[in-house]
Amino acid sequence: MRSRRPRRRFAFSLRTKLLALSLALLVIPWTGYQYVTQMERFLRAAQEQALLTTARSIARVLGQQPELLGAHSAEGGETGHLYVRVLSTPLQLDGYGEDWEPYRAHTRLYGEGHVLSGAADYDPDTLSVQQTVGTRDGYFYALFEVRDERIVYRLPGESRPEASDHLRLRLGATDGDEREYLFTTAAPGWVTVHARRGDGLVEETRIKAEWQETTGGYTIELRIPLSLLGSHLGFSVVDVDGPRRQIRTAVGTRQPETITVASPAMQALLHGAEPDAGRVWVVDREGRVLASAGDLRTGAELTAAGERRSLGAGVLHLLYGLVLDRPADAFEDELSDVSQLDSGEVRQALSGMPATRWRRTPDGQAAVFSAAQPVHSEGHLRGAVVVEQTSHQILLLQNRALEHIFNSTLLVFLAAAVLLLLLATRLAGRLRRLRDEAEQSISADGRVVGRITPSTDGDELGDLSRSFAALLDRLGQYTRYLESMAGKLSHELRTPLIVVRSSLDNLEDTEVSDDARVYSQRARDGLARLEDILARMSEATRLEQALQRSEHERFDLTDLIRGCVAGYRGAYPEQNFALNVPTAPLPMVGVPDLIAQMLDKLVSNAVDFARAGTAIHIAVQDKAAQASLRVANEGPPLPDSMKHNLFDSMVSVRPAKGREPHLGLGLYIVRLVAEFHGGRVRAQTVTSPPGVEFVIDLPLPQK
Amino acid sequence: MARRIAIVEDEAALRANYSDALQRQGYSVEAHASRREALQAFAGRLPDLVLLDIGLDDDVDGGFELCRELRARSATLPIVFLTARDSDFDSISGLRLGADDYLTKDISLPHLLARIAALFRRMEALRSPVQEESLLERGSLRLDVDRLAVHWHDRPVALTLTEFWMVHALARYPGHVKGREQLMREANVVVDDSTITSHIKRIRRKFQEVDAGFSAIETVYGMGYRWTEPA
Repeated sequence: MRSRRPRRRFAFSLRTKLLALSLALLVIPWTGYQYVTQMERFLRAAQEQALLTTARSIARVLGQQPELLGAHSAEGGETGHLYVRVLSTPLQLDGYGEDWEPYRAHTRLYGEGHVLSGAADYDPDTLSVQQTVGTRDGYFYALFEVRDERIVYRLPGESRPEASDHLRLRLGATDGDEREYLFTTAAPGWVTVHARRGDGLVEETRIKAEWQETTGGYTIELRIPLSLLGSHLGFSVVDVDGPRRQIRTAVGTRQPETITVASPAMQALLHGAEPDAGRVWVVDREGRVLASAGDLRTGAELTAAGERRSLGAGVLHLLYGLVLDRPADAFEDELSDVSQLDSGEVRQALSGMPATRWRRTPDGQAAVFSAAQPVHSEGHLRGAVVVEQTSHQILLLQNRALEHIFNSTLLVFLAAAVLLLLLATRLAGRLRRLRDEAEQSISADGRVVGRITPSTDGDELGDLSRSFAALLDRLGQYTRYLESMAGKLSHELRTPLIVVRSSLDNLEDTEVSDDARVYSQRARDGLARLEDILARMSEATRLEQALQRSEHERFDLTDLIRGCVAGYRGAYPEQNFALNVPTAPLPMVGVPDLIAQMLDKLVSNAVDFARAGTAIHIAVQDKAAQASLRVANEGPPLPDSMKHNLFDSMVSVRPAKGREPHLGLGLYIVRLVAEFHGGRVRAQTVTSPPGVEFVIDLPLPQK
Repeated sequence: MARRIAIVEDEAALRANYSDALQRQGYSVEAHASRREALQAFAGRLPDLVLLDIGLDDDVDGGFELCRELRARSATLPIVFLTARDSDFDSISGLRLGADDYLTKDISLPHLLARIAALFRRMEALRSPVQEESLLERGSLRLDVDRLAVHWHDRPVALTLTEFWMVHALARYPGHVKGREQLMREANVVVDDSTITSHIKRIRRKFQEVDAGFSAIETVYGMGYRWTEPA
């Protein structure tokens, strides 16, 4: 058996190539991305258009209902503005800030920039105020959360409000009439509110307030009927410290701010009009907020929440998160607590021209588009409508599209890769099979020993396999032709030879001169040589035929060899033979005559090459499963070029000389006989003593 | 009256050579090149002996066919195959068809003539009483050299001429090893070693058909064969 060649590893196998090719599919998501960014531009343009349209329609409605815009819009000035939003949940007036949580977005901080007195040694830790306001059911509510490291309460009996920490509230009417209210208490709980009247203080019962201590300060929650509320509001929180109870710091509004209380009618109007995840502002000519509806963030949170998905998709989702610009769940909305709008587009709208603007939130998490539209009423510019919306919707849409593209590409890619892999594996497998078949069908010495089963597949590989099979068949035919050449040739030469010989026989029977007899004898000599050659040539063919009919029998190999060698000693009297066979019989199953014939050839070969005076060694070894027969002679080594085909038909390594014809069929016969018995032959050059050794391994029957 | 020998041979030169040689021996020879021609000639009267080639031009097995037809007409007509085909298969086929001998053309003319003479002698002998001096007896074996007949345990063994001469060569000096060369010489045939081997095998088989325990022909590996007297 020939050893199979080790499996070859290819640097670039078919599979690798096809897989690399399938990577081309990854262009799909790239083109998809291009398409989606294109789409994003369109969507943004559409969004701008939609917001502008919304702004325009609201502006038109407002223009037709100028009373909604209120009266204070005429007033201008340097003062600030406070927009009082509607509180959607009922409040409990208890001095605690919990129920204000939903409105924290509108909380304003008064600190360093709002120090009214005692600025020299101001420390935000000693005093700062957070103000949150709102309106509900005809009341104005306010929450003041004061940060104060030490609370100084009013001493019992102390009439001076300045001698303790307190809140001053100034309410001003449109006509300039202003009232001041003082909030001070001796202990946490209900606060008695005093209104300043001239130089004295009058208790005001319509205003309710509650004072509670917190860690690091206190809160004042108060409620004022809207009827008491004027057009302006100002406050200051005064911190009193020290043993002498002096005013240390005051924080608050420098000037009373104009206030706008959201009107339910306006709110109702806007509520229907605000876009999804958007906000509508109505501002007066100064940019002061008159009404607003909607929230950028609620929308964002809603849409972000809509993104939640199953666990399986979660992994992919995370992966896409690395690639895609994901809408932020939370972002900073710098306009949530403002009461006045002063951005470019608003200013432009207030100058009479509609305007749009894209802006990023201060933390860069979201892009916001705003469209501002002036409101005209009776030919006068009365204010502006501003509609805002984040790009989250678009981003979501875009992401969804991209994810779709990525997902389907991934699927297509996987499917294509698997298919290509299968195809490549199958092709490579068929190629390998073909290669193995091709390699196994030709033996190491170049003989055709097998066939390729022609594939029935209709493709190029099948074609290749078929042409390989045809090629091998032709090659095999040619080899067989060559091997049978000797037999054929001898057969063809026979008849003319017989003609010559029978003619010579006839010639001898007739009266011929002595001269002619000499020539006839020479012709006979030549004829004899020719016949000898022919006999040798046909020997192999005859043997091949004989092999087909031979019957196996059980015989003793040592006995046979001993007998044969005895014969050789008679046949080659000048030649020395050294015999080494085991004494125990070596039973073998085969054709003894053929084995003897094989031995004849080996010995004849050895005799021809043996150096004069040296012995030919014939040995048999019992190697359990097989008998190893060696015939060795001292003499010239085997030529390297002939090592592999020494046992082929018509191969001879003998120098072209001598009278005996050599056709190189002897060792071919040896091989035929050995292979017929399931054995192997090999020839090797040995070094000590220098010579050649033929080894025939013959399998022995199982004992 | 000269014996009539028919030669069926497609090769003109060989036909002429064989005819000449036989005619010189005093035989009357009629030569035919094809089966058709031979059959036409045989239609009237059969010759005394027929030499047949197997392949007759395109008629690959023409000789076999002819042999079958002749044997069908006469059970005793001596038929000898003389052919270039030397495979065992052909010789077995030829002998099965009832040929008296199967010779390859390697045989020299003198050998051929000797064979033919022996055949005629057998024909003669079959018609006359057995001559004691032509008998060779070795234990259970009886060889009648005139009739070329072999008996084992008094039962006839159907050997061809070649086989007969081989047995004769072995049995004449029991115990002596006869090499293949010697056997060839004795049997007047020129064949290679393996053919001798198959001849010996066939001889053994024929004896074994008569006596299953036959083992008188012993192989001496590397040397040849010898006749051993059964103990």
